[in-house]
Amino acid sequence: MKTLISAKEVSFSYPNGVTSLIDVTLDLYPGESVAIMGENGAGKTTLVKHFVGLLRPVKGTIEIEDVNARSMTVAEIARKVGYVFQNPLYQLFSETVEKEVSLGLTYLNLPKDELEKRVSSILRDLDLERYRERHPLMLSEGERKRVALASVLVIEPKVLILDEPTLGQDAVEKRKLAELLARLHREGHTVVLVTHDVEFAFEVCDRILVMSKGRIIADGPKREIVTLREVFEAASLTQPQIPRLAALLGRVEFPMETIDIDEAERMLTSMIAEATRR
Amino acid sequence: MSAILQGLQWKREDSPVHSLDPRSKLVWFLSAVALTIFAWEPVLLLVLLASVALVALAARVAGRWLNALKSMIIIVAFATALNILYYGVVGGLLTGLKFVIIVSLFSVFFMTTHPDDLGTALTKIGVPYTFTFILVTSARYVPVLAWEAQEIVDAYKARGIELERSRWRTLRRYATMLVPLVICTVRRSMRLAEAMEARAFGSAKERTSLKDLKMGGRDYALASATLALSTLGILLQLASYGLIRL
Repeated sequence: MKTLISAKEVSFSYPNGVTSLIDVTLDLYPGESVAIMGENGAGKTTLVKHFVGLLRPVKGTIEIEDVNARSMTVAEIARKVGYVFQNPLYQLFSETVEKEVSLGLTYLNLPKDELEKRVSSILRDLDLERYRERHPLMLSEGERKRVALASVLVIEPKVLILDEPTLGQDAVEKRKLAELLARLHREGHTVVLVTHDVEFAFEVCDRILVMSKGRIIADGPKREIVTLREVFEAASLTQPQIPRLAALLGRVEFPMETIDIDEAERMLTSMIAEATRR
Repeated sequence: MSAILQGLQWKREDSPVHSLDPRSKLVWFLSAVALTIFAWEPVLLLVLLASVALVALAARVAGRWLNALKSMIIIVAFATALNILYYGVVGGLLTGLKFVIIVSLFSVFFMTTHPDDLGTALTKIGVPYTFTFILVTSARYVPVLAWEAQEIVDAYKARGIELERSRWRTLRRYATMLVPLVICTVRRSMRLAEAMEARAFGSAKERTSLKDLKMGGRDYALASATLALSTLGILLQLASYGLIRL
């Protein structure tokens, strides 16, 4: 299958000498949903900034749809790869939510009605319609994050990268974000999350990539990764609770790759039912 | 941009210039700036530039100083060109040279003096602490601001807005980016004010400082020598214009 983004032996160090990526190789395919996790300073943000061209590899190459990213400007890559920054304040420039969302579009030379259609539909999708005329900075933190997300989504990039989207969000906002990401994924978007939020990552994404000290230490389907306790430990992450419970219940046959609480509940009830029948 | 910042930022270094008392360096710095402003004698200006270069070498910051100058070449050329229009070739070039010297003085002074030490020095001279605190804090937040500005530029580019190819409209687009930068700065200053109040800022009139400063023999020598030299230079220069009679 054709790759969307492909990193080949990418190494990077910052001008102050701190090395933060060492020989990172990975392929991203259309329609995937990937979470990149790891301890603070593991190189997660550094890696995804390479996907948008904001950082350029010191060694190795990044290809976007088989074209070397070195020949493209960030703005050119941005049409294919959308990047939502951790702090929404850094990406709000306009006086109204509507102008904010259409800002990136005005540079795409779209016909006016197409532009308006796209803006309206994204505002509706992200539940921002009633704030259309409001100043983005007058909104709450969660709403600001949604405006920032809308202003990237409206460009209709093939890949959507979100840096720590759950930071500072309450449970309801997180729930809504998870639903939105699930829907985008269903609609064929490729979603990449950078996060510390293990439960959120395992709920939303299918593929998990764990980084530690500038290297990828695990990469695979979530049900495989979820059972690898030593990987979580190496990257200073907490293994999700249910596989941990499964490991503790070692003697009972409780599959460790269970992630969901609903799954676990079904499993346990049937096990208990069977045990009482005996 | 970052080269200019690098050329103004203090870094730990074990050099005879770094270890000087900030007050004596302040005297050197201010009297050299004053002399540069008054001097129009090309030889005197060149000697001044050479003396700054020597200090930079002794402080082991010459590399960063030259880098900062290099990245300012366009501004210097522009200022010089404008001055040539107003004052003629000689006057314009000399003004350009003065500009370079003053920038160099700022660069070397701030690269070798820790903002906190400068603050303590100013307080000892008698500047009110609130005022020195503002000065020191603003110096300390320059790198934070620079980092934030970079992040904002990146966010702008990531929205699909071309900043790398079209040079012409880029300047106006940079103006737009001031909005988030100013907002973030105002917010940070409010948070800082709260944090300071929570730590009882201003509750005591007299304030002691952890690191005390002591003027040594070297310091007195440097301060009095530079003060005397620059006063002499300024007087001679004024006399040569016929403004005063010696």
